[in-house]
Amino acid sequence: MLFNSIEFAIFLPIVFALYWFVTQRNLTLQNTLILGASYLFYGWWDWRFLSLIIFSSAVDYLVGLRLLTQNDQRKRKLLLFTSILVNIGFLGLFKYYNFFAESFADAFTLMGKPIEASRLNIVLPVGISFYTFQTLSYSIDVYKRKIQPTRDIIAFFAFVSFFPQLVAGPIERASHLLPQFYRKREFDPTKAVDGMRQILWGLFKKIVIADNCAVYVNDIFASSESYSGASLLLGTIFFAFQIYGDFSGYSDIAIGTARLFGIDLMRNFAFPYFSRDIAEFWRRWHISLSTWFRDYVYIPLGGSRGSTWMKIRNTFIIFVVSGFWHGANWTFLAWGFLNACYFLPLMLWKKNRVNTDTVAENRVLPNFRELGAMLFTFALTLIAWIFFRAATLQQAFQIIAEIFSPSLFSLPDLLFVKEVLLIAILIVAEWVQRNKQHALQFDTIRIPRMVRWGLYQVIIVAILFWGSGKQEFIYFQF
Amino acid sequence: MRSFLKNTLLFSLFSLAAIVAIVSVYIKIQNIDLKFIPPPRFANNISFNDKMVFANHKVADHISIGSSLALCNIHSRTITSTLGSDNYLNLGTWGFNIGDSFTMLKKYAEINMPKTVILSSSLVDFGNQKVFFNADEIHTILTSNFPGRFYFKYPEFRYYLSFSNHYKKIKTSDKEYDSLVYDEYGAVCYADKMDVFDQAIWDDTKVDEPLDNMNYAGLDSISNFAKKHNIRFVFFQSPFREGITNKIDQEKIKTHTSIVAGIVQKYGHTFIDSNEKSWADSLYVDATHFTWTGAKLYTEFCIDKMNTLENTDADQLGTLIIKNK
Repeated sequence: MLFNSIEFAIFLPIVFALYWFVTQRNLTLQNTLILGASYLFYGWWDWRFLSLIIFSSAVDYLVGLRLLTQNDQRKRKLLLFTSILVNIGFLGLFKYYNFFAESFADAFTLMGKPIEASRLNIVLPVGISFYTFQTLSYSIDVYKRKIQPTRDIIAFFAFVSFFPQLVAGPIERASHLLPQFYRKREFDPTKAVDGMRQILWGLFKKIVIADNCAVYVNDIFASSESYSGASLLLGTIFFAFQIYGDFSGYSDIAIGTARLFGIDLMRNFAFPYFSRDIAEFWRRWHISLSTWFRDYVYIPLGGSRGSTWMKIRNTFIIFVVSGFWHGANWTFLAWGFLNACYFLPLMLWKKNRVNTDTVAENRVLPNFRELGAMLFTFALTLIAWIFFRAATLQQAFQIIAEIFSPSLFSLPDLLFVKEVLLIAILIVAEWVQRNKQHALQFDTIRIPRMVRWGLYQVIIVAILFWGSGKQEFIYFQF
Repeated sequence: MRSFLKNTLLFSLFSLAAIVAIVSVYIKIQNIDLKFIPPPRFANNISFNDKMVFANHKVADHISIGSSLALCNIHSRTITSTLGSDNYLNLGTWGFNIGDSFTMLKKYAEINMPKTVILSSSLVDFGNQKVFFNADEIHTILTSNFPGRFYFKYPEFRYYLSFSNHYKKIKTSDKEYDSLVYDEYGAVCYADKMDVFDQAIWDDTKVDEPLDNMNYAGLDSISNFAKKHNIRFVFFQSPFREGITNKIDQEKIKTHTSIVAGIVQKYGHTFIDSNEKSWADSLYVDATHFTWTGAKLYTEFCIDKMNTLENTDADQLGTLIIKNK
């Protein structure tokens, strides 16, 4: 079920009503409703893959319980290994098998010994990269005795499959989300209203910004060889806003929806295009994944401690693995590698934590230095986005070569005024609200009701009239 | 909770009223005729969307499939009088390649296995054009008791309103190039007295696109599917207008024709090549699409050839049986 579908518009009020009016007095019943609704939400796409979530949840639930009573370190390791094997095994089979099979076959062909790679004709279950990481974090945290394993099977299964964030995150930690399923939730109207605003803003970013940019981006990247440097640059800029609008829009809808049910999800995006360096960008982009890799890969590898060589190695590992998480394609690996190259100098010169505050704090506009830093960082991300979006490495290099050619100084081939205007609206709204969680958070500003409602209405009309068809969320494919 | 629900309800009413007001003003300004709101946007192709709604709950034993070369070039009355049955449906759709036509056939056959399938096509349908539609949805759309519900599935407000004036034009005039004025069987019949829509359209040979092998594989699948299900399958090769043939690479056409004939005949089906004869420009609206009279002559030609060929085949088969005896 898509957030931007009529099915979800019917589903959400029904679950909301049952949650607060029918099951509110009984916590287990309420969690069971969440679980049932989540499975319905997921099964709407393909009910057969529900078995994967159920199996994955069951394994981690049992591993958690066994870890509680097991003190033998060797056996504890074995239990953790079981959880990792099951979760990463599913991910490997569905997401990476074909990639590795074909890459091995290519490698043998290069060595003059061609072999046939047998492909698996399987579809990637939606959200598998998200929920496997979420449930895996539970087993690792229990193993490290950071959290107590749960005996409440309903709460645990609801934690793994909580529908707002099931298919595209934020990737939650058990320590943050699971305890919320143990507590009785009270309806908080302030939270719920803010949740509705966040949903509205998320829909605007997805339907108005991302989907409109997608039309141009799809054309450009489908036949990049026939476009000038100027069009390709514009297409890349539009892709930067498409992926931001799409993914942060999804996260806003997920967080806002969860708030309607009295549940707080972690923040996933913090206005990343206002970053002044790449390190800041990565603290603001897909926060739940970045911190997951930091806590479960980077720090166990030694983090930024140890020799310079260790720091370089760990930085490359975390970025390349992060790229690989997005998909089984060399383009994603190149994207990760490039970001590592951007990040490394900052870390080696200990400049990676210079910009931790909000840009232009207490000022309306940034100064020239801040503006320059933001534009430079954005330009770096653009080059990386080319690799992310291109179908092959060759196409990425072809696009970059064309952008850095004289055709950059020609007029773009397609009309783009509407998209630029929409992006400008997004930038202004988010810049004004950059200290807040989202652009429609009005908790500290007193705005008359009719003005607020008028603004919401303008956004709704924009969604209805400026929306550009119904497109899937990009991150569903990951 | 009570105040939250009250405010949500109030805002919803306010929002609904505002939307109704805006839409009403828009309808008034644009002079939109509400009878001509386009069909649900199943795909980014008005011809496909319109055909899906037209074919809803229509069960036919004899069907035509293919692109606009089936939609516009097959003359329904000629087919029905030959078949001696009104139980006929033209599923031709602008922009379909052969692969798309195979998908359409398979999906239609899930609802009703046809007895006769006619594919009218030419070189232009074997390029890399494609209509992106959800194949799994065809069955649901064609059998839905309330196809209007798909407006909720594809809630593209702006499209339905902004496209309606054009849709009215193509649904009411047989002089529009993208006309969708159907006869009772779903075929488009262009008016006989046509002005040239546009010199570029008239001059375009439409054969510059590279051919895609996937379409030959698609034709093989159609032929195989027909054989497997005992369907009488006939391929009509649609001709180019006389005035343009000298601009087309004849070798390319010959090669294409021999491949197509080979595939169709391999499974024992009938292949009719109407390029054997030349076709006057006055029968056309562009390089490949006939006017009403052109379509009638073309269909009659193909039917005659088909009857001759199929009778000859039957005679030969009969002779063979006698000899073997």
